[in-house]
Amino acid sequence: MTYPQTHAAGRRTGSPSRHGGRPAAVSSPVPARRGPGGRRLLAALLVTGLLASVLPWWLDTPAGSLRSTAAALTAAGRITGLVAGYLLLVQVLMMSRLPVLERWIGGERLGRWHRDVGATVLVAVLAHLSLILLGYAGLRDHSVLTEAGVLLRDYEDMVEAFAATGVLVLVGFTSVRAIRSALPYELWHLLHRASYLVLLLGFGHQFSNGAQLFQPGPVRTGWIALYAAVVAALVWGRVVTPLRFNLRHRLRVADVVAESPDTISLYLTGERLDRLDLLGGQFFRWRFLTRGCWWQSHPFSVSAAANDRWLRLTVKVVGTHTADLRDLDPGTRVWAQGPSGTFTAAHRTRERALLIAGGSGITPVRAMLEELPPGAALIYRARTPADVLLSRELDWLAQARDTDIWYVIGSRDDPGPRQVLSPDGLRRLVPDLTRRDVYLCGPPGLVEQSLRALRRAGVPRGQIHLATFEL
Amino acid sequence: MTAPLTRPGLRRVEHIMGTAISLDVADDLPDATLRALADDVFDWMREVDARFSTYREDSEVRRFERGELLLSEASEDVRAVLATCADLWGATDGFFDAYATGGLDPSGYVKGWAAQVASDRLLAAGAVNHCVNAGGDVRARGHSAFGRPWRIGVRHPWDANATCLVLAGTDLAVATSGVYERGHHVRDPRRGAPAQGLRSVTVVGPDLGLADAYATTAVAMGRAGVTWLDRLPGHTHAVVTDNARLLRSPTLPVAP
Amino acid sequence: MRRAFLAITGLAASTTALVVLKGSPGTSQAAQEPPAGTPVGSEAAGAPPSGTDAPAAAPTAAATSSPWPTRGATRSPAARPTSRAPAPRTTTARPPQQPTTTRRVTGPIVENEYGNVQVQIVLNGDRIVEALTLELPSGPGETERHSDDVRRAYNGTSGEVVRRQGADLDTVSGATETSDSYRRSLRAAIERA
Repeated sequence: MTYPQTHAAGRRTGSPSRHGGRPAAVSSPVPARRGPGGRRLLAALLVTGLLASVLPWWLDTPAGSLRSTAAALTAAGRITGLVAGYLLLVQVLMMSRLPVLERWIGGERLGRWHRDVGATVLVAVLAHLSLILLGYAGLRDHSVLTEAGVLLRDYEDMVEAFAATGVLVLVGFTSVRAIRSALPYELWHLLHRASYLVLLLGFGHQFSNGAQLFQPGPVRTGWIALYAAVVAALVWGRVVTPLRFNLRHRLRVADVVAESPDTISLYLTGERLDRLDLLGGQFFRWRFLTRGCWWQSHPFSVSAAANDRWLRLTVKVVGTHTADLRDLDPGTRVWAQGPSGTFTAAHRTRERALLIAGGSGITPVRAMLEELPPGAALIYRARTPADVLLSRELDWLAQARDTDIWYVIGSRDDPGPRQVLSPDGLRRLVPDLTRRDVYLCGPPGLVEQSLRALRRAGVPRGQIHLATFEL
Repeated sequence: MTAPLTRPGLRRVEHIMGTAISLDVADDLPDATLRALADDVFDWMREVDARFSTYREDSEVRRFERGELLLSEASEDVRAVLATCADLWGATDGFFDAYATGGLDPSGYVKGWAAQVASDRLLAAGAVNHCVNAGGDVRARGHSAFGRPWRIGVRHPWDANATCLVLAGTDLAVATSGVYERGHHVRDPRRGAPAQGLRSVTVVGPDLGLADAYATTAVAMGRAGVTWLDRLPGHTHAVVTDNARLLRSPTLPVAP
Repeated sequence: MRRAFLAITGLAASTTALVVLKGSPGTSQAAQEPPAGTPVGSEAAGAPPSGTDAPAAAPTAAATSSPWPTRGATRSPAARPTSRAPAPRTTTARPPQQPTTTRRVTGPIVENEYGNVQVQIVLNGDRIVEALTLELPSGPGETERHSDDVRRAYNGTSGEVVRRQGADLDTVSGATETSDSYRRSLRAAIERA
């Protein structure tokens, strides 16, 4: 599952919900634009931090001092060590769910960065280990194995550091997409949690043996402060913020509605929903507090814009967890973390938008439609007419908010869909394509195909928004 | 660090004031006396560290800098040192500046001064043959355990394993200030920039605190420091420039 | 994943670049003008180095007499105490005399411009009785070139060879104790003690 498991569903005629007989947010104001300024600022901060983390080495190392191969290897080992140490903190920070990160960068993008930085951390740590080993061995005329023994025996905290490397390799290995998808999600998640061990086990050796960190001074203090800041961010983002949110809103399941044979909508109510800072297209990580479900947390988009009476998520039943959701009793408490995501009208860069949704990927798009300025266009791909979800709401919105909607039905190899999702086809439907933001949400195949077509049609990458967690 | 076969006296090394302090007493005195003398010296060094350390938050210098301690409330030692630093600031045309690094940091004088006081006390206590080395600032009096004048090497500026000059004498204060590693770390207080031109400056005189301060000053002055040293009464010098030339006073007490 | 690949490539490239940048010796030295004042023995500066074997031979020759442990001597730190007979009359505790309470603590290798310094301290109880330099600047290149210059300049006035100046000393001014890398390694060793 590569995008929030938000699978769209239309409210069926005569559906039992009386919370809102029609989309409640027709009058939703268009949210103010959130430019990429915040994101760029944070990215610049993170990159500055990276440079700053190598700076102590640069200042400590006199020019011309690395004359032997061993010294050069050791120096490279130190650089990669500093980089790895810093990036590991960035890794954890990006997953801290800190509201400012979720708001400015967005969960989807953070997920992608986490993946890229993760691969880099793994390589940096392995490079650090081998370079230091080779460098020290060279400096002391030892064999690499002897030197490894010396490091483990004579240097403090090195056993832990080696263990940390082992854990990191395991975590990295299980994150390779093919292996990850072969593992049950919960097992994988548990293994991935072990990354915190890396932080813990790798902590000591940086200060007892790090050439730039062992001596008391601003560098050491700063490095420790960085650790403290990341731990604080973790506590704030993962404990304090959700606690506050859930104590304030106290969400409960109000109703479970079948949208189609394999799609359900959950209506949630709670307190002070009028003060919910939620944008259409954003998602929460949900935890349903029943015997079988409480320990799992899953991301689902909200499928209607914020209103002061209810929240709705629409879910396609694909696994055991989603199947369990069908049986939720009204009144069940819900623990939510969020909202997060930048797949919203607020993140548009242009006045008009083109939305491309596939199958159940309509959910966040449906919520967003309520908040986009008039004049948007929607291309909705579905395999069969029965797979079209929320069609009544969509038609209603099309009218109310002056939106063009094309339903493109058929299998991916049918000539119709192929024609529409080509650069020419897109241009024909939406002539001012390149001057619009494009929002994409759907199965990976559709997203990839559309992305290629859009890029070929000349839409700048910065105008394309993806609701996928990774790509 | 060297230990000949048999010799009278005592040697001891301790790590105080962020550097290694070594004491060599060559007088043939009873063990207990020697031990007591050495204890006195190192107690004194620790006391100086406690008062003057810029790294200890509770030192008098740091408290004075933060305004928690009035000069009138400070110990006599601190007052005397700060007064001397002020005099040195005037005498060196502002090049010796205890505030060069931003905060108050009189360590360019204190280390040498502390060793000088220790040496004076040893002399007063009857140990006339001794050598105190406080992190490279040396105060030597009398003769070594071999019965010859103290031989003091000057560290080779490019090779920590070698010395580039040997001085000898029976009453010498030798201070060397240099830019050995980490690039330039002595700052020219008037420009705020790292000093350049002189790699290492050794000053020999009667008082180690002043010698230490003058050596630091000359490094901060750069090339101009050579002529400044030349005009300094009562002191001799040896200078190694950045491009590896050795310049020295004709009267420098070089070992025979 | 393409970005991850780019990041990893960038990491490798910039690490290499940093190491290469720091590895190349500064070139400003040659361009500098002679200092103010008369270099002692400047006329000898261009002369061919006399005593060609001196720099190479000196460290070994000095190993027994110099107070500064050389590479050769410290490679086998265990042998040190036996090469030094205990002094019966000294009152300070020395490692050979009370081997039971002696500990050795080693600091990390710290680089400086001319090589690596690693300090080992010898403790008797809580008292440091000796600080040994384990890794010392060594090898050809910059160090030799500079000391050649100094030696040549110095030869002009006294005829003494720089390296031999280290022999038979009681103490050293501006000694390695003040050097930053020595201090850092020493401090780490002490903190570990």
